[in-house]
Amino acid sequence: MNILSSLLKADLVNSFALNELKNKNNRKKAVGMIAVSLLVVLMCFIYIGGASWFISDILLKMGMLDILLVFSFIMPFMILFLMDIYKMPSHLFSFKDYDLLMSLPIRDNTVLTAKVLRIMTESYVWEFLVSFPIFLVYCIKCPDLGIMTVLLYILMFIAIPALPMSIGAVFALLIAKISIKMRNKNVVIIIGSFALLILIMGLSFSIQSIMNEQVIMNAMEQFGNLVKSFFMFDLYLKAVVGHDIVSTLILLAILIVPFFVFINIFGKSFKHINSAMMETKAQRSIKGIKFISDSPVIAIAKKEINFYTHCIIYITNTMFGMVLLFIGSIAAAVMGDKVDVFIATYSVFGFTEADTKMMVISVVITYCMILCSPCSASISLEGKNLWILKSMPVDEKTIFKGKLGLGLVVTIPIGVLSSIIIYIALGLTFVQWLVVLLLTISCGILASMLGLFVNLLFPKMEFKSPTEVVKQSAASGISIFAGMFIVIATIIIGSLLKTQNITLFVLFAGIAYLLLSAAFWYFITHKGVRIFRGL
Amino acid sequence: MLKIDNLSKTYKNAVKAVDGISLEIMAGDIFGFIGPNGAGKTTTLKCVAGILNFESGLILINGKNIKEDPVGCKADIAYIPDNPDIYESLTGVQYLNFIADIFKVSKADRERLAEYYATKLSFNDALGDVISSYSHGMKQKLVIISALIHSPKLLILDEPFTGLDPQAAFTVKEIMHTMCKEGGAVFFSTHILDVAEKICNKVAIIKSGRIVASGDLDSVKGDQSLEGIFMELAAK
Repeated sequence: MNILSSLLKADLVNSFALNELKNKNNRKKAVGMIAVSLLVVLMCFIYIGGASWFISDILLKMGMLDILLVFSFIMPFMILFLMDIYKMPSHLFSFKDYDLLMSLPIRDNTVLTAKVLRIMTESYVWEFLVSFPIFLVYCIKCPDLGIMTVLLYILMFIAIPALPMSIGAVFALLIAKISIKMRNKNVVIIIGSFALLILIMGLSFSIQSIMNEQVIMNAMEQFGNLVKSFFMFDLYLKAVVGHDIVSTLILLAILIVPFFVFINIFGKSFKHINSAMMETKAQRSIKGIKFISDSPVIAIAKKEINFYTHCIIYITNTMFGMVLLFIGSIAAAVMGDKVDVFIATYSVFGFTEADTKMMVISVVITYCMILCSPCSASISLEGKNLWILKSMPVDEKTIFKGKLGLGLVVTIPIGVLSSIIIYIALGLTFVQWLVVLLLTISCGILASMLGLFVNLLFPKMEFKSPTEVVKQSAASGISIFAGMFIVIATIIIGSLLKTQNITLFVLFAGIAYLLLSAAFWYFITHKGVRIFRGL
Repeated sequence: MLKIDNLSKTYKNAVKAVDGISLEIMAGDIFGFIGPNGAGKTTTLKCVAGILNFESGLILINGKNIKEDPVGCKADIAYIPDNPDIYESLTGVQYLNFIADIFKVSKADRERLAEYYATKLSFNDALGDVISSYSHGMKQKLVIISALIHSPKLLILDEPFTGLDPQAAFTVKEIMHTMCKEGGAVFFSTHILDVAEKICNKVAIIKSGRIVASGDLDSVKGDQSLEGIFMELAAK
């Protein structure tokens, strides 16, 4: 086995914990993971294949079925590009096994190639999930499909990930360079991550809203013109459908040459860039450092906030609701008229427009805020550092207050600001705004209490990276489901009570949330203390 | 200063890590806790530091029961673990500020003590850096400074010399001596028997959760070296 394949094998076995799955004791886990993977494949095939099937009928009517093939090219291309920007920094720069690999008698280029091939392996999985269902529909619907088209599709399938990876790596390098110069380098990545998530959500909503034959026909006509004018799409069709050798070679060169250029150029400076990124600049001596004193609760809350702002995965997973609420309130301010029309359209169950507006605003605020709970991971994230809090001369209540402080800081200021924007933009009465404000504050408190309560019940103190706690722990999942349950239960109670005065109902909901928070606080400060001591 | 009476601790897997140990540490003592890997040293230290619960026995720190008044006990002690797992996203000075806030150290005292110990451990220039950029030894130094910033009466250290450079190790020993001269006490575990022999006035040897020898250094080792007596007891 040559060095490159050994490196790649070791990386894949380590990244995907394949040895753990071989272990007889982990059979259940292995079966579960295979089942989940198959479910993901099935979902992708159903969702993407279903959408392609729907579009293909329209394209057939228009005599433009080949456009479907362009989708099988452009969709994985775009997704891989966005993913590569996100993934490249951790795989190519300051990666965990850098010291180990660079100490081995291996050429820098080989290390880089192994890292790139590792990303490429993953890319093929995603490309298969996105591109193959579309191609499958094309194969079924195309009346004169030849074997040459299939072979050329496979050839392009192999070549496609190379270009997004090259562009993604250059972008990642630029982002890394910018972020190094910034005081708080995570800001660039956090803003980028939220922009990406919102873009994906926006695209998803747009796709759903255009599932109308006439809209699709118009869009496809425009897309057909775009295909003709954009040379890469045109080349792709000429290559795969037209079997044109020159077009095939040109397209392959466009996809693959930048990749080799990147490997060669970056390979030469690979070690230099990584060394530079790992360096830490000399800091001031102690004479220039300011000491500030705070109370224990504030000190713990500040420590929590510091960790929060330094852990990108923590922010992107727990703040999305707040970002959505804020952007939604800005959107309401910009498009107030359209919101009014929307609300007027959906004024059902005999409610007035004002009540409908209050109902929609309350549901949106509750939903966005209650799902935002950094506290659901805050105990678990202590992990190996738990000894610090446990050896301190502070009672558990103080620790919990500090941790709740993070939840309140993350939710309440943005929530209150959003409520003010909504109040001005959508013309709520002052009393309605006060009720919305109460709801906002009570949701922030409830989300924090609920998160801490669930985390104390389901702590996960052993983990390799915060991602395991923030994304995959039982506490995070249960906290989200419990939040959803509270939202749905409130709506059901409201409809069962046949409430006619929505503002009054929202007021009661806000008070009920505060009472529920008090119940959680009682548990946290009694049984929670005992659980914490036992951790 | 510290009294442990009949302490027992069993883990969830029914393993009895500590089995009825008793010992006493007076003001001015440097007490070495010696034993092979897995003997129960860290478990004992963690119980004293209030990190681990225990089923039976008594731990008194300055007359205060750790179970009844954990906050009061912890205010008098500082615990330094064997592995300096600390908040990686904070800077050194932020971490010191955090610890000083919790122990309610005044602004003037924290500035004075941080500067004093950072200078002693040659750590001045690294205090402004983020902890994630520190080496193991640097993290260890920071944990030691944070432990001393609130002037504890009892210092509990788990393998304190692991990862420290010779100069820092010497300084730590010096600090331990100074602390004891000023009426404090040090309780530490170690594998390095030479160090224990040189700096401790009392030792206890623990094996499979039980103390097999304890008392003044001279009475424990007799005419032999500490290494000799340790090997003899470990082999039994």
